[in-house]
Amino acid sequence: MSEPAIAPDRLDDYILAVPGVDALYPAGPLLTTVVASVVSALIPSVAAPNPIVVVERAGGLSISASIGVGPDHAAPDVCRRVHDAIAEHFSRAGDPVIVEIAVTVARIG
Amino acid sequence: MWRSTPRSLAEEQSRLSGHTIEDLNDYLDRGRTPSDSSIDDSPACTVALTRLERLRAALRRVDSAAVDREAERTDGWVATIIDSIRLETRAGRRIPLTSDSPVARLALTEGAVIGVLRTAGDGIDGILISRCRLEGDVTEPGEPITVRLDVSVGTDGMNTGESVRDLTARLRAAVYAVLVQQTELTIAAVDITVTDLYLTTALPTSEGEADE
Repeated sequence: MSEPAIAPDRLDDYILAVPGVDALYPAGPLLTTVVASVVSALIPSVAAPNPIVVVERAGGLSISASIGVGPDHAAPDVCRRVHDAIAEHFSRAGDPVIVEIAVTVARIG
Repeated sequence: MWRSTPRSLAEEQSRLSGHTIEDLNDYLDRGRTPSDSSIDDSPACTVALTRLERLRAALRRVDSAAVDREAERTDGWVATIIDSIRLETRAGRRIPLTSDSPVARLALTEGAVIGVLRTAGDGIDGILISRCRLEGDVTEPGEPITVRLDVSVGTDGMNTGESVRDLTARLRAAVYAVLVQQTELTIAAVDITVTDLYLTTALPTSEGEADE
């Protein structure tokens, strides 16, 4: 596992633009996210952690996102649309090999 | 009123991004100001806050005189619901969703499903869900599961001529509709147990009030 070749910049905005998505939650390990958030709050020059985790593995990229779905949408459909949006985003960004796109609905309504 | 053991407190803080239910209660008391991103950005905290707000709304509807008469019992009822909120703020099991993509790993958290079922139930006047459980292997696609709900019923929310059985039938239909829309679970049954029944009684008015 190493740093991602493609940073997930603006991917969060892309996911939040998917109809039905009303929140994006940190998908990384809780402790890492909390520590990174605290460091970011104390040291303004350090960017806040991106809620989307992109990891470069041996076979390709693994992307993880955790979302909240609004009350008037079907969570399974929104989840699939987010998967498609992520796939499209990376396709436009050089089409790297992707081994996994994990999308978890953490809240509905 | 309700207390956590040191171990359960640590588990609760782990689930709630370092916070406790009491912290969230205080946060609501403060009107969510100043805003705390460690709470607002946490799905578990968001779910717990929503449930605490519903509980507060329900308690406001309970007649204060009845609360005084049954102080111990009402306290136990509230404590049960608080304990349930503690348990249900866990993300819980991963409930898989189907996809045509070979690289997709899509899922709902058990906590998200329980949260939306509570919203459906508590949205029915006269119903307050005190406990919600998904029984069966939700991690296995197609495996039949049973939804078990413990509910409190307040007669003030029932339609004229409606029985408790009718009200629970409405609840069952609402819960089933949500399960169909929001999940791909195979539902074997939605079992509902009414654990508390609150009757609305007209309070006697004093002679002085009657004369006014």
